[in-house]
Amino acid sequence: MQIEERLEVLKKIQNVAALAGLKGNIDSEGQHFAMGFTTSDSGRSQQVFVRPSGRTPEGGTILTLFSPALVVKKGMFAGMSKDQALGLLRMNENMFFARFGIWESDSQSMIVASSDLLLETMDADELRIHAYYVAFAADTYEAKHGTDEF
Amino acid sequence: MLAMMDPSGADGALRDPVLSAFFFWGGLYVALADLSIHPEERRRLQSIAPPDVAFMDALRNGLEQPTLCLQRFSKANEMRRQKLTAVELHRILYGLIDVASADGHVTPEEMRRLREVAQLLGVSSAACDVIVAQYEEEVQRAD
Repeated sequence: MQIEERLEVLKKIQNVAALAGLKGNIDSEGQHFAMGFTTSDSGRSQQVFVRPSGRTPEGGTILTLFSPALVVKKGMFAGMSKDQALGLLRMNENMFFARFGIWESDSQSMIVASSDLLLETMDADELRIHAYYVAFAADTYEAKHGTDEF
Repeated sequence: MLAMMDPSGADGALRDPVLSAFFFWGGLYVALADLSIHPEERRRLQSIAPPDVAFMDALRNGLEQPTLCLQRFSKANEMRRQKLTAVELHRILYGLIDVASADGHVTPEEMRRLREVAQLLGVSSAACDVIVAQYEEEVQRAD
């Protein structure tokens, strides 16, 4: 996707978010639209990012909402355990409007909660609900590991 | 909320001809909130008046019976074959803010009417306030 087209998509996301009463910003490199959520009364917070991630066969714009939950360093005696990965699969089975996944680089694995929407049919309530569920899923996992980094 | 706005408006806020009836009747309702109309608001409304509308009659009727504007606005919604998309809803509200701010600011009474029109479209007052703030930011950035 060309940068102009990408920015146009991000602008539409920002507009639909505003319609849902959600404030946020497009990052300076035009990679994503970011929103912040308060996820508990005790002041925990979570960031949710939205970005265009693909096309349907009919040409619709697929958006992915995601929120980082935990970074796991790779290396000897480090990284993600099999039990941890199975735990994520079990959690996926019991969640609505979000799933956990693992984004990997050479040095680390990032556990991310995410969800997909179609830009052309997305309405404001739908965006709000998906964003809240993704934020809540990521924050719950983060809280379980004693952090509030994201 | 009441910060001064650039009368030149946000880029392309009223350009969608498919939505012109929404812009016009909603814009007229909001702009007449102060019981008078600023020349800039008038100019902006005239530029988007649907072809079947006699502008002076609409203005007179809107002043005498503001609810007529809301009726025509609702009728424009009923005439559509498909429900408004989120992008279109945002575009309509942006257009109405563009009309209301043509004189440089949105008055509290205009803001009240804007929220009323937003409610007709199923958009909350809180969301309406976020969109006004977004409009202000965009206009300031364009300066």
